[in-house]
Amino acid sequence: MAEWLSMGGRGAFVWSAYGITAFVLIVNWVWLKHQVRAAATKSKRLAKPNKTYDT
Amino acid sequence: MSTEQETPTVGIWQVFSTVFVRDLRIAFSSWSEGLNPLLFFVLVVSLFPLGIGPDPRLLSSIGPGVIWVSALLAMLMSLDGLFAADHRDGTLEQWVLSGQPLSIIALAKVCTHWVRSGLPLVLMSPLLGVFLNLPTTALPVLVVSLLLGTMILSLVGAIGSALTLTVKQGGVLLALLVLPLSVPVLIFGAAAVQAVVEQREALGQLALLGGGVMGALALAPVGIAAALRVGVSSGD
Amino acid sequence: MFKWIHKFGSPPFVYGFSKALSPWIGLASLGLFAWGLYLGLVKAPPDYEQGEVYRIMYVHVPAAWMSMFVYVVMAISSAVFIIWRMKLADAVAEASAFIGASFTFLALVTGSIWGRPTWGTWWEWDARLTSELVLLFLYLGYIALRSAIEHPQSGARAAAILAIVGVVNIPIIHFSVEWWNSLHQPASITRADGPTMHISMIIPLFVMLGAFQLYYAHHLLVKLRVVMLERDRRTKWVAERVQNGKL
Repeated sequence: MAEWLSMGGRGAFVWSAYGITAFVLIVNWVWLKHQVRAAATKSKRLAKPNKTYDT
Repeated sequence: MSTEQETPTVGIWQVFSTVFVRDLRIAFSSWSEGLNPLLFFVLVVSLFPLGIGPDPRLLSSIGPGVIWVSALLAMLMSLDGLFAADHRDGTLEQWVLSGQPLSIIALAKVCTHWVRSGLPLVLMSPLLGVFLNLPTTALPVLVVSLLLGTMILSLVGAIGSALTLTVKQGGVLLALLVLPLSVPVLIFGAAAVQAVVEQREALGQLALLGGGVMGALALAPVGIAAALRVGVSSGD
Repeated sequence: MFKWIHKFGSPPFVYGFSKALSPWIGLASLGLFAWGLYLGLVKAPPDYEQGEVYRIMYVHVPAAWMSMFVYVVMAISSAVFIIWRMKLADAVAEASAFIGASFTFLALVTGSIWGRPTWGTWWEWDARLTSELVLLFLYLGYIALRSAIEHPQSGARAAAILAIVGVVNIPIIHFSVEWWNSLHQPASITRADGPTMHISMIIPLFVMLGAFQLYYAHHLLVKLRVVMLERDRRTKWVAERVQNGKL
């Protein structure tokens, strides 16, 4: 296991490349989920005019 | 005025020359403003020896690149607001509505822009080549490469200028749009001069630049016209 | 033909389609990622020249491939939008811009990390990395132009023109950079990829490529819903979906 993690002494390079890829892809995904939720909430609010309260 | 009035039949050449002559007149009436890019070009190139040191061999090896990058930036500077005055006073709108081919009008504008901003750089470049210790044999190639290259830059840059028509303070945005598209011009232009400095043949690079001029002449006016239509129709 | 486009290109249909399909595509992408990572990091043998560090390829190459693929998608949908005024096509371009820039960024960063142990420098003006850098500028220009124009419809059309101009230029830029690179650097530095690779090293690459493709497909489908809701917020189909609780 430790040998696998060290990647022949180049572990820092390999894991940082994979880490930054994972980070960017996950952040994009989380941000996307947030946008979907925000857009849906806003549309729901606008579609029911009797229940809206404009701030 | 009746709405059924037909567009007067004017030849393409006449449209082109009318706009071209009009713009040249405007350019000459405010000629000192038109010299700004040239001044910028000369200033930037003469700063390089001060920053790097006066070693003649070093200067002649970086010279082609320095002159080319400076010319690129000077052209970029002159592109900002290429269509702004005509947009502000409604001339552009009249052109769009005139029923005349907008791409021809755009081409005429680009030609004046080149005569006003590109040509002075080309004419000044041998002197700057001497400043940077380029061999005399490289100077003709420098002039030809800049002659062709600035034409492409005028044509491609005008697309960017037309796209940022309605953007306030669009200078940096214009740079972001135009500079990536100018990469091939810079590479082949500087490489042509570099080749002569290193006593190699430069004909291939110049031919590629010539091909670039042909391609840009054919395609860019269409793009400029499309971008101008978008800018005018946005209605502010 | 146009009737067909009208039906399958209409926002309510695409919204429903995206909602039904996107979770499955997301799951499939996740599965391929798991499989590809297992193959690439555990099963594939070390390279006899580069050792283990070549495994960066399994994220670098898919990211670089996607960066170009997404730009082409943007340019094609921009052309469709300009020619047929199809709003959905513009939504596709808008939804692709940021994720495309992210892939380009990843290709640059992983390329740089890979370069350190193989070339000895963090940044080498290698033809592929330089092209990726120019591509990143093209993406940033597209995003910046779109957000700089206040009028959304003008912004959409201006951005579409820029994407088309960009895609015409990409082959020229690529050719010029390749040429420039061969001029300034004799081909002494090459990475161990290409036809010399063993099949057990190539299969993980294709699995990861599939994972990245599906990730983009999922992202695009979901982002399309966001874009359509933001555009059509006050239209009937959104109101109907809200009333039916199907948003």
